[in-house]
Amino acid sequence: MFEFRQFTVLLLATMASVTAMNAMAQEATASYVIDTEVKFTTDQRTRGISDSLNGPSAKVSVQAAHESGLIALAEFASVSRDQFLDGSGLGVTLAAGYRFGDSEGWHYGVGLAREMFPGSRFDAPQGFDLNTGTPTEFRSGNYDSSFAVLEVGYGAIEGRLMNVISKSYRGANTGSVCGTMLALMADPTEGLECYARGVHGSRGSWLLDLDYKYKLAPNTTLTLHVGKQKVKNFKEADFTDERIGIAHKQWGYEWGAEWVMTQTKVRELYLAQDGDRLRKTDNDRLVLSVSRKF
Amino acid sequence: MKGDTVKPWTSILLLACGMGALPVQAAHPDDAKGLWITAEKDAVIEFKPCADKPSALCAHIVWDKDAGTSTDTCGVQIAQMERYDDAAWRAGWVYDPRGKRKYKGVLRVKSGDLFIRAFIGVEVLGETEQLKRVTSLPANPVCKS
Repeated sequence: MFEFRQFTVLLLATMASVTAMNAMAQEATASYVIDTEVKFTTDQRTRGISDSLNGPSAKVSVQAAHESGLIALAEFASVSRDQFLDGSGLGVTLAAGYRFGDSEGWHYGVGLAREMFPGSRFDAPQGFDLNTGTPTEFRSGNYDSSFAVLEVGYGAIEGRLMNVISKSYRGANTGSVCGTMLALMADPTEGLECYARGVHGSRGSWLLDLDYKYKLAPNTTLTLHVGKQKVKNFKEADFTDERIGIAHKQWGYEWGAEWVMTQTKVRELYLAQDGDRLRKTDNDRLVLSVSRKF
Repeated sequence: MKGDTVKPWTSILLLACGMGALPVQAAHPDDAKGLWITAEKDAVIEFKPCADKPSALCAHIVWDKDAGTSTDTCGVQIAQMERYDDAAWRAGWVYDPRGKRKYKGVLRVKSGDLFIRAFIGVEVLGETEQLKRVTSLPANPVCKS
């Protein structure tokens, strides 16, 4: 009986040892991954336009991916309350979709995204009375937008096409676009012509991104970007943006430097009231960043 | 108008995209064997036929800048690939010793560098680490395992 007990203990101990040695080799591969990234930047730019009034910003991103191809993203960035009026100073992006294809060849993605600025609202006149010279029909709006997203990539080249499915793209409607033009442009003609087109939102706007990454060294990447934004019903608000940047991984952090360029058609639409002065949010500038993944 | 300046930059992007289309020599299964240092130069990994299965390729950490400390990863097996097919080692796994997670993996040698892609499900859901070949291990610290 005693010998049998000893043998059993020895056998169990041996099995435990073998199990521990093989644990890593036997362990199943991950079926999902959740990446969290914290990023500090000297300017929070979205499609070349500053969301932080040219000031520093922090962003937290959480991205989840499942082996089925399903992905989800949540981003929280600090933004300027002078641009996103009455808001909490937070920009939130939520997205979900499906990616498939060959990372070395053609790959694709489809999804939906929602960009929100909690609490942020503005009032703008949807009409203008030419007889009395006064704005009319003040309506409240917000900067929130929803998008349908299509991604097509080949190797290191990534293309993304987004269509605005919400009432407006970042609040662009007759009141905000035509009203701003009338208020800020020296010549009122374009603002009045804008109002004469009637009351519209910007559902159906198209946003196009083209990105390319090239490894200069194992831990250094050159990034190139061009973007084009066509705002439905308001061609005055169309703009393009380009970025050329370097990202370098060192000490567990990614250090970035990007030269950002933006070409707006009507610059008055991209001015923000900062106290008693107007500031550009579409100026070309160098943006520095540091980020870490957890 | 300022907006007209987009065209030259678009051309630059398209031109730069051509940088990836450099001529590449035909790959061979043995190209992946040997010593490779990570992008951040914090570990050297040796790729060689697996001891228990010579047709497969195994990878172990043989130098770690943190050797001898509490985060020492010396001797840890970080990859095993079962077969070579279509210019890549495939059907295997990659282990992240820092995150302590195991992923599907694929290895490719391109332009003299080793590219390890760790992914879940399909290759497009992953990240690639680029390693440079080295001929010997850094003198210090020394891995004891």
